[in-house]
Amino acid sequence: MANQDQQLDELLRSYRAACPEIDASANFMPSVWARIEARKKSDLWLVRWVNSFATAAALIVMGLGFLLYQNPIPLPQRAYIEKLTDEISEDHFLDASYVASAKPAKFWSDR
Amino acid sequence: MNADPQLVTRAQSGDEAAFNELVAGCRKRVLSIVGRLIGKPEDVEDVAQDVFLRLYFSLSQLSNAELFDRWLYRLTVNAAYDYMRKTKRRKESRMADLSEAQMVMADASAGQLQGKSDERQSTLRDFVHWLLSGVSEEDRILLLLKEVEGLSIKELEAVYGANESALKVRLFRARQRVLKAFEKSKEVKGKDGESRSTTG
Repeated sequence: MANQDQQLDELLRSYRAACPEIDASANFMPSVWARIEARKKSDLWLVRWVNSFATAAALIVMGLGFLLYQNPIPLPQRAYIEKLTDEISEDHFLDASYVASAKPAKFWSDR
Repeated sequence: MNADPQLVTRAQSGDEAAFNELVAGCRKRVLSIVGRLIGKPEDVEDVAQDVFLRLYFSLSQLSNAELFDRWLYRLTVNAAYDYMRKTKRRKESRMADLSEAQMVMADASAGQLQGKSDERQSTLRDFVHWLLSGVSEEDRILLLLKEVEGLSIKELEAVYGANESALKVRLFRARQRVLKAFEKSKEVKGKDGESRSTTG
């Protein structure tokens, strides 16, 4: 196993030597800058799109606010909780006099 | 690579001439590393350009100019990994003639490769790619950085941002897999030799 380890090390070292030295073409740097510019442009387009979307959203919100201000929706006279309390007080199960007058239920008859 | 920290700082501030100088200084090294990592000479320049594109847009995030080399290593590894994930080269690379590669391997292990023809060197490269095709892209890159590029565990720690023991375990497992494939190829060679001698 140790021998194989050594052989593998040797092989990988030879691989390094067998890989050709690659030199950049004359067009390398211009291509890098072209890619940078293209990326900048696409980023700029995205920023512009996001900005216009945010502006449109803000304008819609302002327009709706203005419409609501011009035609206010009347608020209900009584709050929901007040109306609910009224209904509960009218309920028989919560009426003490009704509970007192009610006969107890018989579950079995006397023998 | 050893880039000049002042040059890095100038490039960080948006100086295009400094960026050009920075790229010129480390271009050759990046091309070599990418070449050995991806193993496809025709795509090396494209991946290297991707490395410098990433560098341009991430240079502002580099807090300390002294750490530029590690940063560039990390970008190179990431670009190579992304390329390999895109092309899925593992599935494509299958050895057409393993026995030829084994002869080259035998030469290589005996240290006799120097001066051999380009064809043999190309076969050796194919054989190493075949051996490494048994491990994942991440492990393949890690193994190449350690064994071929000669990075120490400390340097790998800085590149990967992982702890020493985790890296050692990963490297050990990857190496064991490659060794198994290496052993298997030798068995195939042995059988091949036997069958040739009986037919001859």
